Formats: sequence, C-alpha cells, structure tokens
Amino acid sequence: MITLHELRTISLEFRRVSSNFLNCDDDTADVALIRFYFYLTKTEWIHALIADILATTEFDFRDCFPAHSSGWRETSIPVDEKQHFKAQFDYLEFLAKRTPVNVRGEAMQYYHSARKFTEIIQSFVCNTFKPMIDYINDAISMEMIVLEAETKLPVPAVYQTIENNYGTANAQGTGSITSSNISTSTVSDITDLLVKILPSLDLLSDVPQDEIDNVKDDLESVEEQLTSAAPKKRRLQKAADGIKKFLSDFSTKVAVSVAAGSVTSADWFMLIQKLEEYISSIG
Amino acid sequence: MELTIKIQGDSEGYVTFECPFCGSEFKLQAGEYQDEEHPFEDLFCPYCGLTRYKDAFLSHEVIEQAQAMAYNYAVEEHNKAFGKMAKSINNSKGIIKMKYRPLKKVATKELKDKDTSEVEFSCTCCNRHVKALYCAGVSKIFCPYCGVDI
Repeated sequence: MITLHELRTISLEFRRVSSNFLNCDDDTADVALIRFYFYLTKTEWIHALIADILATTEFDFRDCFPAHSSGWRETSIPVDEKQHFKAQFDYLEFLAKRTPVNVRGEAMQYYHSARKFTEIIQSFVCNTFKPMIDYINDAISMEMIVLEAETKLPVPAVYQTIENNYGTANAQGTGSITSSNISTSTVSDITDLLVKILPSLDLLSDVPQDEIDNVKDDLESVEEQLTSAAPKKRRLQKAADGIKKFLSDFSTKVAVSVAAGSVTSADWFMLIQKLEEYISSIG
Repeated sequence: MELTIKIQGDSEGYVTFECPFCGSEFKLQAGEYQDEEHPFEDLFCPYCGLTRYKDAFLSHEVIEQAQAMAYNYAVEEHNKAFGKMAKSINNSKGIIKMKYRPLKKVATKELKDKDTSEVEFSCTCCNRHVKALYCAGVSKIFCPYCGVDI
C-alpha cells in the first residue's frame, strides 16, 4: 500500500510533468507529450488508476475526437466521465507511439483562431487532455485526504470497569483493531446507529452548517446503499471517508442529547468501525 | 522606458492572483511575493496545483491596467511628436498647414484589493502564506511557492 509521503511526491511530480505538457510550445510539444505519457505509464499508482478505468470501459477514442469530411477534427465529449477519460488516454497513447509524434500537425487539424503555433498547440493540449489531468490530480488529492484522515483520526479512550471477575483484560487506546469475524448483525447495527445519529445533527452547535449538510449527505448515502439490492463499495467508501473527516474535525462537538438518549463520539466511532467491517465484507 | 503598476493590497497586505489553468483567484502576501532574498520563477495554483511562470498568474485587472498604461504612454508620445510637427509646420509660413487632433487617453483605475472571504493558510514547508477559500483549504490546497500540499 502506498504511503502518504510517496503520494505527496507523486502529486508534486505529476503536477510538474502535466504543467510542462500544458505549457509546451512548438519546440517542446513532442517531448512533453512523450514524457507525460511515460510518467503516467511508469508511475505505479497512476498506472493502476488508469488500468482500472481502461479495464471496465469500452470506448473508441475516435468517437470523442471525430474527423469531418472537410478534414477538420473536433471534440465530441461523451457524457460518461470514464469514457471521456479512456478516450483521452487512448488518444495520448496513439500520439505518443506514432512516429513522428507531431503534436503541431495534430493541433492544426482542430478549429483554432490563434495565429501562433505555440498558442494553437497549448489550446489543443488544454482542450484535449486537461480533463484527464484534472481527474488524476483529484484522484491523488482524494487519496491523500483519506490517508491524512486515517493518520489523524483520534481513537476513543478505552474505559473498562472489571469487578468480581478473574482473568486477563486487554485494552488498546491507539491503533486499530481488526476482526476476521463479520457479524451478520452489522447492517442492523449501522442502521440503528444512523437512526440515532441523523436526528442529532440538527442539534449540533459550533459546527458550520456546510459541514453538517455534507456529513448528512454521507450518512444518507450510507442509508441508501444499505437498503439497495446491490450496494456500491465505492460510494460507501466515499461516504465513510467523509464521515471520518467530519469526525476528525469535530470529534469534541458531536455529543448531544436527543429524544432517544444521548449521542456521543463513541457512537460515531462505532458507526465508522461497523461501516468499515461492512465495506470489507462486500469487497 | 519603465512603467510601474501599483496595487494596494487588502488590510493584511494580500494581493489577488488568478490561475491561468483553472481561472481560480487566490491571494498572496505582497511582501513574500516581492521578497528578493527568496526569489522564485514559477507559481503553483493552490487549487488545481498546476504550475507556470509567475507572470502568467497576474489577474486580468492587472493585465488590463498594464495595457491601458502602455496605450496611454504611446498616445502621449504620439501627441508630443505630432504636436511638435504641427507647430513647426504652421510656424514656417509655408503654403502647407497641418491640423492634428490629439488622441485621447483611456481611463486607468486605482487597483485596490478588498478584504474577501478567503482565509489565510501557511505552508509548513516554506513558511509562506496564501489566502484561499476555506472549504478548499481544509480539504486540499497547494503552496503557491513550493507546490507541496498544505
């Protein structure tokens, strides 16, 4: 698994390489395109991200960048973001592997109003490949947020009162505890916690309304996935990450009293724990 | 010939810049931006993280102001030259007379940054500062100077 440090390095490198590509001129365009393509294919984490999309998406890049009978080309973006991504990557690969690469020749085939080659090339690169750069950039940032949240997430203190008992008690204040047994009652536990936590959101004070709305969306998304016939792991994971972030930011402010009793940070941690168990069980 | 553009920062000395890639606006402290002890060539956009030479990040207001100042300078020089020429021709008592209508200058405005809702974030790597939108800042932004995530 990749570490936060490694991902930060990839983020910086990727932004530098992609910026060089976006800023290329007539003299450097071919080299910048090849370097960008090589960076995507040689960097393991990014390559895995791309491979995941390519493996699950069918789309011919020429449908996204069709040629007219007049000889001009245009961009016809598909609605599906993954199809658009695949089209961009396949187009990049096509250009990088042909000899000569000739980015200027390709750029000149698209409608343009600029008079300088450099402006035409930059406009072509930006219009054609910037969405893919944004997608990868966002994916890296999101993974960094998740890794940061995991390292910062406070663990609740463990209090145990043992009376009139014999044996050994083990308690852990930090780190994570994993169990290979997945309880069949996980879903009902999560549902019970959601029923308890959701009404408490309206009573939270000192928490920005935007943050409350965001975490409410995440909790409702979990609720929706649990009742779905085919729960989606990615959505659940995204919602869980959002809830984790909320808790890491406002762990001291989530305790409130509601009609059904009181909601404490322990309930939120329990929810995250049960949610993670559930997500790993549907893997 | 050298023209100087003056921009008044907000109450904390921050000036607005604009990303050439995503068009987002952010603010940098004038003192840090002009710090001659720590010069830099490129800037990173705090939002999209992409990088370009620092002049590309000047806001459209600054560029408009620079264009207006350059235009006014050219107008002034033309008016001076043609005024002198007209005076010289008309004073020569010859049969040729010259009339000229001076070109008008365009209006320039005072560039002043107002206090906006952006919040200050500092980079743990280079200790320099940026003002960006709070929501973006708490999730993920990049240092405009060194490019690392804040």
